[in-house]
Amino acid sequence: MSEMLLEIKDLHARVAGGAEILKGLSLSLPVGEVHAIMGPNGSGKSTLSYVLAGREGYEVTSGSVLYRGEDLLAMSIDERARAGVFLAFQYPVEIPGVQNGYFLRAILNARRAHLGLPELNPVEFMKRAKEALQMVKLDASMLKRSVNEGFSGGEKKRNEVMQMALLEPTLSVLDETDSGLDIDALRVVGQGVEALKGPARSALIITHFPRLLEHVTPHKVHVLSAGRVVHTGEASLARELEERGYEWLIGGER
Amino acid sequence: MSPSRRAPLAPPRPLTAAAPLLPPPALAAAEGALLASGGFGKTEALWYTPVGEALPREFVRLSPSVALEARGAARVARVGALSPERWPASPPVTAAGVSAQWAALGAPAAPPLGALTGAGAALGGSALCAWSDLSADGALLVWVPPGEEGEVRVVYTLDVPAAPAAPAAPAAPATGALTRLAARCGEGARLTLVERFEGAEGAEGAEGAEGAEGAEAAFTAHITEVELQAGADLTYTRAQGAPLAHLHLGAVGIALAAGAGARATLLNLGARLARVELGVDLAGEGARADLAGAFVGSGARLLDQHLTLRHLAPRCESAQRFKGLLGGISRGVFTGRVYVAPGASGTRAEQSNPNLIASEGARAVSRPQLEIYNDDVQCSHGATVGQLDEEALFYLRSRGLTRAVGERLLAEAFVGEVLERLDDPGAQQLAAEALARALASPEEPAQ
Repeated sequence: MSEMLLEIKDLHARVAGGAEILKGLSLSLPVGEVHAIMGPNGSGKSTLSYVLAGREGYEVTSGSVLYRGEDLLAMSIDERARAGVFLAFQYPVEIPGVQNGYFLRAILNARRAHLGLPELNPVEFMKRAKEALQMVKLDASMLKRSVNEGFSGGEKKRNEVMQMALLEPTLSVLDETDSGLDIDALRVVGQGVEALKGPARSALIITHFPRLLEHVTPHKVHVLSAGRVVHTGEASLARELEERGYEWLIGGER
Repeated sequence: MSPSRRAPLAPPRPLTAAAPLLPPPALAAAEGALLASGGFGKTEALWYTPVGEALPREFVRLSPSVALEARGAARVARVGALSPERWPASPPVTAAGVSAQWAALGAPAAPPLGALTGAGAALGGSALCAWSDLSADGALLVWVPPGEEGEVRVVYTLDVPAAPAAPAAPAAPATGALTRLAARCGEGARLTLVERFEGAEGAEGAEGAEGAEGAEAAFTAHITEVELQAGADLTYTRAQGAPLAHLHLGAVGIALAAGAGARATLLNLGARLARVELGVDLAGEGARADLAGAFVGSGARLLDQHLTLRHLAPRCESAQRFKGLLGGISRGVFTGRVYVAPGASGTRAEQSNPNLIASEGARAVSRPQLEIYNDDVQCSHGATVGQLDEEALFYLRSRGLTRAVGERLLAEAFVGEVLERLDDPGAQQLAAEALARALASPEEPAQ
């Protein structure tokens, strides 16, 4: 059996003080694999991504998450990020007044410091940034704008993939990155994600629709329903779900 | 009425002053009356800032040391006692002395003491001005001849003597200084003026729980007046970064004739209590004032900005944008009064005062006041009090930045539009230090 990057075991979680959303979710992601997590609205997809990123306001009531064999849940939000966990937001946050270029350089240098690499100077950074921008077909002028401020929906998602390309995370979690994208943007984002595949890198693609999976081929597809993985299949499962919907898999569970 | 007749209103304030700077006895008595009973005590304008209670009742008058750079066509003279080592002789702060120095600079005659320039009226009613008129220790006079361009940068430093090491030792007397700067620009002249207020932090300057308790009271009081004749242009930066032990009182008056323009940036960052009044008179048709400020509080500081902007002539434009960032248990007060005179048609005035509260104990008070006697105006104002955006903080942290770095980025972004106006490295440095203090959590001080 291949080495596991992420092992989620019997995870129960809720919004603090609220009803349980994840109800015994288990999932294993081997190093170097891309898995898709699909499921209807309300199945717990976004909660899973927030719990993995460490967002405040979410409570894990039982279960465990091991990342490279370590307890992910014991790490702070930013420790997880520096250790190589990246969450591509469903709704990237606008931050007026924080210049995108400055922000990107700061996050790249934070990651590099964690890896024991020297800081990039502005010239070296610009070279990297321009390569990443080109990959997602964003104009270099966006470096001068405030983070996500006034970006179109497509630009925001491209900016997420661009950050992913810069940071080279070990584990990428894409939370509905395909939602709200037109066909061109979807292709660019899909190609960006596909390009990030590598033997040492893994990704969880969380999505409601299989559209993104036309551009990125996952090793496995998990179907999430009512807070648990109810079915796991090969890449072909995505197409089947598109044709048949979720009902045949989740039956009377919802 | 002569000042001496008012003396019975209150006992004279004893002054343990160095001989050459001691004001005449009659003036001291009038000062005592002013401080104890009048201006600083009970006016509504000082509701949130107890200047009268905070002022030391007894102090040694000191001259702050002044580092001054003048470039271009700006001509500078002084009256009274400022930086004596650098300026060996100057007339005293009297009407005759001031007039003589204006004449020596080649400037036209100006109103004497009480309003060093025509801009004094913009500060009408200020208790600080009334006090300073009675006994300023020294003043700088700046003149830029018509059509010419000049630059003046001044750093005022008043160091607090170290507190006695042994608790039993007698306390060192409080120190203080009342200084002024009056600048005048002839028609079409351009002036860049920077004033910074600094001083070394004593050991007691660290923002521990004790705050300034152990420190000696000291104050700096400074009035800046700028008179802009027709078509003149001013770029002004005022950065207040006095040590925590200080009380800082400031007043800035700017009077603009027709077609004149002023761009002023005020940073209120230091001292334990700092009150800065800004009075701007748009007195000539088509004058413009672009005013911005940042007050950044930490510890138990109280930072008060008190603006009065008067549209007195037609078709003038004004903008005020003052941002408060408050940490610790600091308090920020913004009062912004915009007055539009009956004849000031075509007025455009904008005002905003967003505040960011960076800790649970901090507070902001915002008091916009519009007083409009004219229908042909476009005025807007907005005041907000908010906290650091947790959503944005989560985003920054999810990219690997620590909470502290994320908070700093967001705080810098908040005051960024004010700070990016600064061209003075010293002022930028004071702002960066104040930001770090405001964001330092009590458990882990920035120092």
